Amino acid sequence: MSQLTREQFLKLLAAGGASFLGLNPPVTAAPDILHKGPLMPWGRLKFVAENGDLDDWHVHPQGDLNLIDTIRDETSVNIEKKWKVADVADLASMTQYPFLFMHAELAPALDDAARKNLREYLLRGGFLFAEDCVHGYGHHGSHDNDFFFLSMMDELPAILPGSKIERLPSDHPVFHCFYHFDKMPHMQGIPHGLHGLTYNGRVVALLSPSDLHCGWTNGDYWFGEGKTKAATQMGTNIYLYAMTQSV
Amino acid sequence: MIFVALRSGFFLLLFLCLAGPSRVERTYDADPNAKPLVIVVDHSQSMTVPDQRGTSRLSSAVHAWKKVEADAIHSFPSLRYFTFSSSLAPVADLESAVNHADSGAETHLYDSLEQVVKDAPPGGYGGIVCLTDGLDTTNTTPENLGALALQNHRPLYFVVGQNQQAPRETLLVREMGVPGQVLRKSQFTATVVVEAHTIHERDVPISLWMEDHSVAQANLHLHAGANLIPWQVPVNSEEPGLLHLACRLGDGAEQESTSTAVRVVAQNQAHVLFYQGTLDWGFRFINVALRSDPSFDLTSLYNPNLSLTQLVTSSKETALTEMPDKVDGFKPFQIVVLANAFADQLSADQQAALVAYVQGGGGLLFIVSDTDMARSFSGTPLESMLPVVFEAPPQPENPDDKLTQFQEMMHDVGGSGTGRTQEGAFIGDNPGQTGQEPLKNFAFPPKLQHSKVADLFGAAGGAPQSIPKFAMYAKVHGVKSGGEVLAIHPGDKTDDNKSRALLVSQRFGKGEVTVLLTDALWRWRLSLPSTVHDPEVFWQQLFRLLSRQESGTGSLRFGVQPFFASLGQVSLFRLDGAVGSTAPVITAVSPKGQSQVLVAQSDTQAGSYSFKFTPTEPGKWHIQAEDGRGSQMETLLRVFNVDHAAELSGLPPDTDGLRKLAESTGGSLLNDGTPDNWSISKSSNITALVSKHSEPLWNNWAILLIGLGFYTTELVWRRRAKLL
Repeated sequence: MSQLTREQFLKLLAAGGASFLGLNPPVTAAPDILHKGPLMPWGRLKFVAENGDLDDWHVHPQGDLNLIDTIRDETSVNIEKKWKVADVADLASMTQYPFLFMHAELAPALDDAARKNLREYLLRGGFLFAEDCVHGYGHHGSHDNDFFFLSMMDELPAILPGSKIERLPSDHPVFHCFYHFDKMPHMQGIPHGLHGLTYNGRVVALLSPSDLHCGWTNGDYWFGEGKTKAATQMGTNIYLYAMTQSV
Repeated sequence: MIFVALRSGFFLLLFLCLAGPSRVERTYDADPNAKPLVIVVDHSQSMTVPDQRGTSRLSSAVHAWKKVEADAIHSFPSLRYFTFSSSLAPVADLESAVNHADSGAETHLYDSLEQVVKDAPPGGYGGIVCLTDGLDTTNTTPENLGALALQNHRPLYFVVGQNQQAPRETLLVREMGVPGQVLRKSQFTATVVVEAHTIHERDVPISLWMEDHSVAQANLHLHAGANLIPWQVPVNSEEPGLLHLACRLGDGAEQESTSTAVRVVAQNQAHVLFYQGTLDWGFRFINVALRSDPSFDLTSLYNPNLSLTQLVTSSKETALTEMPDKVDGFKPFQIVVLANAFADQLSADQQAALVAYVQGGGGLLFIVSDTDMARSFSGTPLESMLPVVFEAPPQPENPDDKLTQFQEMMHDVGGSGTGRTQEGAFIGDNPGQTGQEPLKNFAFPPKLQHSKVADLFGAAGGAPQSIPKFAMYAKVHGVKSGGEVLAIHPGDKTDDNKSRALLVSQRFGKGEVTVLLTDALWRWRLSLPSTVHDPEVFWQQLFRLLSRQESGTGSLRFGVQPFFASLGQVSLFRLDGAVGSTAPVITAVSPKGQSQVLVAQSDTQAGSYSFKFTPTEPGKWHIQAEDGRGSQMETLLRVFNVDHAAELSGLPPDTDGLRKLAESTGGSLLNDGTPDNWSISKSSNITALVSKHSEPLWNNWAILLIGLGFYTTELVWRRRAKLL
């Protein structure tokens, strides 16, 4: 049986008491009725990090679920509320997800098979959002790490010959397609900016050094008031941009 | 012994008192939900004219009806009777219908049955039986009737009347449809519509010739009765210019040849408006597929409630921010895609504009993968033009249901499922979990024309990789009789054991409508190697089918055209899409090859011209048109000495057509016997309980007092006997 926080317990008590008295339970304000589209899965990419680290890839899984909650609450996207895993060593597992989230503190240790799978996944139309965790499970450095980001800056163009990776300007549609941002929200790490991998004129992957994911997990507590909201909103933008980009 | 007897008597009476048997009387009434059966009798001349043995088709139909009439009487609470020829009239019984004085010179079969369906009393009818030969003389087609009957859950049953009257067989090319113009080095579809009336089933050869060489050959299977068979052939265009096509139907003495021409141009482009009601990954992949083909230009449009920034995404720089509510708003587009939308996202005006757009020649692709989403369109104007009928939406729950609210609140408090604070639990619960349903292949209806499959699915015959795969699909109530099912679910079937349709297409007015009842096949794309492009080919071919270039803006086409006429009868035509400052040149070429120029008058609609033609000899006339831009179009007019479909034209009964219509509505041909669903309703003996009266068999208090008397007597006697 899962443990309840004090807040959850008090909510339960209030709801139960309200129902006992025949009152409407104090529900949070629901958004305008927004029909939900077809159900779609969320996938986190599993891979081996440098030094043979097998755990770095799955840091803070509840952060993904927090982003899923935001996307479900604010948009018509019907992402399944489950955290599922695709293995970079198994192309068939990757191609079940149109969008893959890749996240770690350490640089990924990709072998040729993994690179080939990533290339094939992107060529088939999949979208990759790769992000630097900066300060993950291993706490390998400071809050200004960019091991993952720098490594992926080299890996991504090599994985997809003919592609180009570059920093996206502040007027790029990814910053304005749903919520509007003047610049990329930054949680921790080095603010290299959001980068896009472009192939045949289309953005097929995004690379972020800003650890939005930790913002999804516990942004307000770790980084300051308002950070959770900014991180989840930018995450929403990234997901919707990947779905709807026309060019 | 006496004491034992007294004690036993006491206990026995106590037991009877406690058991308290009673007599129950129940009164039942007839099933309040049972609906009457309607019998509609065709009393037109073709039904009443006797053959050489004195038997008419009507008497034959009545004879067949009598075999199942007893079952009908047992299965339905009452029977009601109507008769019709050119108009519908109620009658008291079957004899009145059979002996009706007026044998009309016309048969308004489908209009009369539609009237029966529409004028049904509250609650409707349990079924509609029609005694007829199926020969409607008004050129009305049964699609509307089939859709109406299906929507209102009124199964149609037919009893076909036949006699020994020698029927007249016909075999001809009714229409040869090709685009007005096509791109050079592209593939287009030539459609030949064959009309035939045959007594027995048979096959006839048909071939299509381009210039002087054959491009396709086939054998068309003709059913007994009326046949209207479209034959579609993919044709590869060549260099710009006029491409001549000829169709040869039949062989030997009955062979006839029909020809037409297609203008091949250097460049043309179909503009697509892609509207998303809710967001789905399918758009991304369809967008890539269409953008890889320069003959398509795509404009994306989102439901305003999605709050997405409407990015200008096409070269047309259109200022659309929401779906147009007037038909003119759709004019720049040849195809509209309505993807994952709910009915309440489109206003009545928007739906009406979309219907008018398709009627006027536009193409519509309707994508829905969720049954609830599909249900929202039940009963809407959009449903009237789609080739499927949606299930009715479920009854809304009581919004004040406090239990439901409390459950939803608990779910929200509980969070996203697996406990937010225990990361290890996530890993333990989801190690490499994918949990995705395996994809399923499209399956194809057995009778689907091979060319249609090849058109859509790339490789001829459907190589494994070229068969689309899907994960989710929507269930619908049924497919309308005019809908052509292009793909079906490999396993799932409807309640009446028909394969579930997944891809259905039909003509609506001058336009084409296709419904895709699955997800947008993006999983199929991801499952295939990047070097395989079958998903892209599928989408491109599907959109080409929808674009039907002859119905695009500026393409010359016949908006109104009769296919048959009788000698001396004035036929009215209308030509649409003509370009140029002067009227198009219209020529009628007689069966003997003589040309006659016709005068066209400008119509109210821009680019439209009307003209009349009175044929002076029987046979096949070619009506040819050419506008100021040089676009050409041709149609056929077959002229007979008597009216082709006149009441006494001698055509055989349309047995298979009526069977197909009946089965599409859940009914059947009663010549084949009593339907199974009549037997079920007979055996279920459903009745309604009106009253229930219980009466005890005896007075329990009297029994109890007698028992106590026994006990008291025993006690007194024991006391006197000094046993107590």
